[in-house]
Amino acid sequence: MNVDNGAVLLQTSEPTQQPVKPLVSVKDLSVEFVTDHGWQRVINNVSLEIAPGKILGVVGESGSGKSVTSLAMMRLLPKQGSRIAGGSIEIDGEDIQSLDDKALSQMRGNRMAMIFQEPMTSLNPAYTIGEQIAETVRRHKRVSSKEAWKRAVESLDDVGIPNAAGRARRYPHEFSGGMRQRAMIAMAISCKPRVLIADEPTTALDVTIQAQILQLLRSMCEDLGLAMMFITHNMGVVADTCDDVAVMYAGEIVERAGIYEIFAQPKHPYTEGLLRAVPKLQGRSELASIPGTTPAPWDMPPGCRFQPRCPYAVPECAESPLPLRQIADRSSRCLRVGELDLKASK
Amino acid sequence: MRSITKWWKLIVLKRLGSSLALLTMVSAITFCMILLVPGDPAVTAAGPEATNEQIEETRERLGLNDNMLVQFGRWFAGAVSGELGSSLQGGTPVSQLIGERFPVTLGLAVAALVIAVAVAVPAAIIAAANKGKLVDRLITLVASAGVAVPTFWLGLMLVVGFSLYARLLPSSGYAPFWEDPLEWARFIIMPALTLAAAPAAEIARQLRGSMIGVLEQDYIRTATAKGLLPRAVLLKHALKNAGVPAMTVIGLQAAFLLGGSVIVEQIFGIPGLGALSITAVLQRDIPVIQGAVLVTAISVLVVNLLVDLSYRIFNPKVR
Amino acid sequence: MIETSERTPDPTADVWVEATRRAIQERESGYRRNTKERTKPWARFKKRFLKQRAGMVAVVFLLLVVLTAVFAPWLAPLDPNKQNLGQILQYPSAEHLLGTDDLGRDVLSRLLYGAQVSLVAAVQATGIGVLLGLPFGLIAGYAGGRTDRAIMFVNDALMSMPGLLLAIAIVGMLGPGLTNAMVAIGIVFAPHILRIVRGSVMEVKEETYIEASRSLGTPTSRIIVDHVLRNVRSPFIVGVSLMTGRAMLNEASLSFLGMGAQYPDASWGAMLGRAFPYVDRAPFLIIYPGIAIALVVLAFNIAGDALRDSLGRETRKS
Repeated sequence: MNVDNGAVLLQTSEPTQQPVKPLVSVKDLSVEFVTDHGWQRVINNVSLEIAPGKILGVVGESGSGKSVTSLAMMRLLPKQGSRIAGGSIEIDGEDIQSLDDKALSQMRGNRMAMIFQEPMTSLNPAYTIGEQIAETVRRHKRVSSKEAWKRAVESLDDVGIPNAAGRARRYPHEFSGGMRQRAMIAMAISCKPRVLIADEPTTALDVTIQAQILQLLRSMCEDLGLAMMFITHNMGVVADTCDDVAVMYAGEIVERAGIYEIFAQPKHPYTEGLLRAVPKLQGRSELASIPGTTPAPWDMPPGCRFQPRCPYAVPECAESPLPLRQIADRSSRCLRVGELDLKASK
Repeated sequence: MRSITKWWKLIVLKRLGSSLALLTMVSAITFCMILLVPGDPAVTAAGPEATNEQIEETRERLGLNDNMLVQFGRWFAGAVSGELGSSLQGGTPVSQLIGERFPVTLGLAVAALVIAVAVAVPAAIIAAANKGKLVDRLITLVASAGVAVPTFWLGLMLVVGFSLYARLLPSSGYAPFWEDPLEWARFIIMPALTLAAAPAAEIARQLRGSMIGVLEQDYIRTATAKGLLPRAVLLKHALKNAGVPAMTVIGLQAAFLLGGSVIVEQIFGIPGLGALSITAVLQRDIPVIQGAVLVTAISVLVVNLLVDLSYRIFNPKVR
Repeated sequence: MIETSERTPDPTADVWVEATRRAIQERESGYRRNTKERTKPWARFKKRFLKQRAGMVAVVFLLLVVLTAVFAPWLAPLDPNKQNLGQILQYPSAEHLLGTDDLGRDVLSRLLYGAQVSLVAAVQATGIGVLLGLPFGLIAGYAGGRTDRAIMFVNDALMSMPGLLLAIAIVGMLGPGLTNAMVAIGIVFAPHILRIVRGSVMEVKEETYIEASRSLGTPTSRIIVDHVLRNVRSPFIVGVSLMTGRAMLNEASLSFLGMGAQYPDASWGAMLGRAFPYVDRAPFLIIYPGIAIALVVLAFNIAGDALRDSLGRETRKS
């Protein structure tokens, strides 16, 4: 799966062109959490857009804020202890923040759906798979329970679960991990949403299953023309799946570019680090990682937030916060973006 | 499907078997309690003013002349066939006494359990859904107090409030359910409330805890993410999963209800098994004490068996 | 996947390798700091416990009650057993702050002395429960196998019998009296203590250090005493704290029924039992002992919960 092998990726080679109105439009989103140190900003001025039929990869380590961003978009952040401090979220033409609880619940699962990281725990162990999917259909579509069940079985069939009619009567613990994630996807697409958020959908799965699920998501996205946000910490998965990439670090987007551009030449040292952390084919032992950890929200370093961990840092990096700067049709938050010659691989 | 039915039968049989073994042990313990009587049980049972002949007669009736194993064998064989000896006071067969009293206690216990569950489950759900807020803290506080307050004291306070001051309810007495259900309810409501307080508090604490645990689970987020309203998430997805630990507590409370009814019956003058036991204890009527303990223990075992089997309904994953 | 598997070193790789090494070093020094902290469990416990406001209040309250019980002879305004048949069932007044009972005895004095009787009784019952439950729990947990199954069989049978009724039946056999009542409650509690102890023994039994000392030829009894007992401590303390509260409740019940504290002793339960027949004439008599019991039991429960949280290990309440 080399980058140069364009066939694996996508048809559109100019990913940042936006001729159609985006289905997802997040502008200057900021989210704050309450901590021992008071209200702390964990997401800072994040903006992103996704067009129909496109997949945006959001990449970063744990703690970078990518999951929080997605939960904020679904308005799934805990009501107590967190708040959206600024910005706007528009999904499928609706201003998510202005919706009341009822309207919001009518959006969720219907026009915007989400797939979670842990297929093992994300399904209710006390209900059959079919019941759980049919419940979603019944909630949003005016259909009989028989019809809802039929659609649930169809969804399971669509995601490639063999003997869907029989499997629908089974409980989650009778499914393998990969099958459960397929069931989750079936649930998410059962109401034909316009927007799909997938939060590390393959992290808990082994490599072969992972490839199948990615393939499935990719084709779902194209077939249904939905806009998808794909969250992962694995650059390799991004290469297989996404059209565009937003790299997040410490609650900010540090680099945004099309899939080709970012793999051809990263424009931020953090992206470079992530690219190096991609597991090599030889085995897991060589798995490199970016040294150090993401700073805590109340302990943000001055200037560039990545600068304490950055091998290219110079004193000027710590002077003042950096903006996300537009360079051609991509952007980066690195001070030395002009002088560094970063590489995806050696 | 067939295999599930078969497997299910096997489980039931296995549980039944272990319950029977436990029952045998319980009856052995009940029998052995007589060993705790200081000195000669016959002397104690016959009373302080008994003549030698009366003592001998009591010894004979208690069958104390044979060796322990023979005694136990006889007692156990009797117990299996429902024959538990006869009262030392008046000679009525113990099984008849218990047969008269047990339904009364059962009615009281069931009424208390219904009240406890009806109060505790909604309270726990409300508290869990509002974790950390004022409602939650109030409910938790009341529940903590409910566990600590002596059952009988609560009963006394109810008597003071509802019988002496408000004069709404009779302070003591009983009417059989089958003859006059309304009258029965009038008599049973205060005792049932008294008896329900501690189990309600315990069930509420437990269910609140497990609900909070369940509400943090990923599948709850999934349920919200697919557009379910909070009510459906709470009552359908969370409650069913929180049900198993709650059922365990409800099963444990059954034992408490049957034991605790002793004191409640005493306060409210209800002629149940508890009142019978207390009279028996004060009169050293050993066969009656043993019979009452055994029957109560059997009821508890039956309840626990039912609770075990109910797990299957709540959680398909249970072995 | 992006990476191909050449192994030629490149200049940029070095900066990452260097940074990684630095990070590992930092993490290790951090770890060493942590392990040093971990060697002081007592300090950690104290720190955690002091943070629990409710637990602290409960402990302070219990200490006050204990002091009251100890100094009752000095605190009590009157002799608790002194009858004054001319002044029975008096409502609270300046002379008798909490009124008088059916024999004209001062309720406040009896309440203060009652603290003594009730506390001692609760401690007694718990002590007997521990005496019976602890050794069998240790044996069952440590021996395992058939011994364990036999002990647990009897234990489960005992636990399936309703506690209060069992206690009453045992009193029926032993005869009424506070000590007998406490023995009965102790017998009822023993299976619960046994369970707690057995559970934690089993948990620590297979841990490697026990294996190690076994291989060095340490006698079995030493292993139990040294290792197992030390690890059983936390859940045991929590269990005992909760159980003492419950013993108090049961003592009150038995005394109320006339099977515990006998005339003229003043346990709180006995005071309630004594006041019951006069509830229509002097309802105030049942208020104070009840509140006293409820508060002390609540304090034991809260203290137990706080202990559980500060000792850090989950103990199942059983």
